[in-house]
Amino acid sequence: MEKLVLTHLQKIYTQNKKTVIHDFNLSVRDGEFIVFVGPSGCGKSTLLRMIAGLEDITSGELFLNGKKANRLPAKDRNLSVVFQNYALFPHLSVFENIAFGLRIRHYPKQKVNEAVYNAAEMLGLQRLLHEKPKQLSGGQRQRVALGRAIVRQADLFLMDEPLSNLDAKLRTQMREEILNLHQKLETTTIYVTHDQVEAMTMATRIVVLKDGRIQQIGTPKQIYTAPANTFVATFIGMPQMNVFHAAGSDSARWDDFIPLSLKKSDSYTQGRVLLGIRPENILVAADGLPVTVNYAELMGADTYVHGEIAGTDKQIVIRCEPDRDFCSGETVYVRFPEDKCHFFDAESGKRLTIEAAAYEA
Amino acid sequence: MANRRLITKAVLYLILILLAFMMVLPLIWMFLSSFKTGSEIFAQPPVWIPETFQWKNYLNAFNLAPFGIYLANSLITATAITVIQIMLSSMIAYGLTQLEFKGKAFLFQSMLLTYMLPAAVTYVPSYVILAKLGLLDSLTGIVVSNISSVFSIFLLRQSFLKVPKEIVEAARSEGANDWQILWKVMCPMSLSTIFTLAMITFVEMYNNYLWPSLIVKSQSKYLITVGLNQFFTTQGTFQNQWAMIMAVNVISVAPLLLLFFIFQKWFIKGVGDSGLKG
Ligand SMILES: Nc1ncnc2c1ncn2[C@@H]1O[C@H](COP(=O)(O)OP(=O)(O)OP(=O)(O)O)[C@@H](O)[C@H]1O
Ligand SMILES: [Mg+2]
Repeated sequence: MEKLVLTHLQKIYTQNKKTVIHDFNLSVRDGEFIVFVGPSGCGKSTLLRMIAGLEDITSGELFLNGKKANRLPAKDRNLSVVFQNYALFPHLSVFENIAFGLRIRHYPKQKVNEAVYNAAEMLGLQRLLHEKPKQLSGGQRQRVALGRAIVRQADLFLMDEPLSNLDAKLRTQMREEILNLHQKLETTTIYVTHDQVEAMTMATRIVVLKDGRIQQIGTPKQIYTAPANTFVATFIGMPQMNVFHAAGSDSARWDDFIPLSLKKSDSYTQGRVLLGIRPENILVAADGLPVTVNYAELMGADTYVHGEIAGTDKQIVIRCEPDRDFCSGETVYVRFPEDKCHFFDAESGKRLTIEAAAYEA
Repeated sequence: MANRRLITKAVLYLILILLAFMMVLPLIWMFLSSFKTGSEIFAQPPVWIPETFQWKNYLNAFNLAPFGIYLANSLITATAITVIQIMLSSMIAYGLTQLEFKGKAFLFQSMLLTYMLPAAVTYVPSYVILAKLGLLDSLTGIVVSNISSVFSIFLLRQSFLKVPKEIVEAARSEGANDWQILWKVMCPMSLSTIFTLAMITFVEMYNNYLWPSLIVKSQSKYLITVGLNQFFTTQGTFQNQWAMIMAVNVISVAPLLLLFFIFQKWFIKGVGDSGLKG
């Protein structure tokens, strides 16, 4: 069943008449874990707040459980929001913070106790129940905020960058905890982040946003292996995808490594094609395209080689096994396996599907 | 260096002690005088400690006028005004800070404008309104005419503005309506302001004299301030009544002093955490 459907959603802030969300369409199935990802200021929070009922919808429609809910007050939407800065009630104990929504709904005492203790146990908060938020660490506060969200059988969890205030280690740990919770509770979740690792590891589907427009919706795998445009291609993936102008005029040698059918196409000869290849898909071989190494970074599990294509100023990053050493100024030869190459229209940046001929070195 | 700092500090403390002493001296004198005889009060050179403590001054005072009733009237009206005024002001402050409606800015500005008016200007119209409501010469009249206060609205509004938006939004998405947000989030989070405001209002209402003296006529409705003045004007001319006046004074300031000693910790302490990170 569709839990949440958004059609042609648009948001214009009245204060500055700025259109922040353009024609947003999405339908979320029950139990999905949707991640909104995009750079700062692209409208992720605005979208989430519209879904939560904390911000007016300028135009378009929002359906919750199949019912139109554009004007449904936040308190009646039965969803819970986890805010970036936790937004715990400072005057209430951890117990009362978690119990807040249940008390508002006048649950019987025993049911409240039961639910709160369950949630606390799930999140390892049993021993902190009588503390005030002030006395907790960032990670603990975040857990309380999660506790407040899960204690009530909310229809939908909305989380706005819930981990961004935590240190790297805690973030990884909380990420796992949130995923475990999702597996246990199976509550439909919309999760906002600008961290691509969170997006890739947590999502059943990712929505990539830029300037208030959807760039692509897909599973992490789809987003990674078939990015819809150059923005998605370079936004997701670390280090980011190499993108080159694949015009024949660029360099004679470079030209040799472009798939044949692409070479024949008009767009190619007129320089209207971009070629993208992820650093880990580039093969270092005995011959091929020569690359001058600038420097190499040993990351532990692998090495990032930064260089430029010989005779050009095109920067390139290669990710390879850590056992080989590279020194600055050295020339290495690389190949781009054809099935790993992505092609984009140079003007629109949109993905091109090209039936390329078999690659021959 | 350390020496000089010590000296500066000592001088500072000396001045402070002197000032503090000057503040409490009249109170001490009043307290001691309430146990003196009339001639001891006016004795030259002054007598500080009475020869024998005249406990009967208190009894006599109570026999001359119903101070118990005055005191009760004052405590009841001041408490009622404080409670009702803060509840009403909280609701207005909530509307001014959390709700969106046409004319909000105008409403707030006109409230502030009325604050600029001297209180005396409103006496006549207020008197007429109370008369029309049939509330003259009643405790209800005293309460009703004091339950709205621009000062408390303003103070609470400032305090509510400091409550982070996310906290209100969190409450809202947890299912709280405006009424619940007001009483379960805004007010508890503004507790120190509410407390200070309650103290100020209570003291002000307990000490209120002019307006109550205009609207109450019968002795059974007198507030302590009105009763005290009445007592003073009828009895004050005789030297040996002064000890009783002092006794009555002690009784009338006792509730305030008591309040201060119970809650002084609260005056100093503020509730700091806003509930957000950082
Ligand atoms: N209340 C507001 N009034 C006017 N403009 C706003 C308001 N809130 C946000 N905006 C604008 O809307 C745009 C999107 O803001 P939003 O907070 O949704 O971004 P975001 O994707 O959540 O960014 P971040 O990752 O930094 O949190 C921004 O350009 C911002 O300036
Ligand atoms: Mg945001």
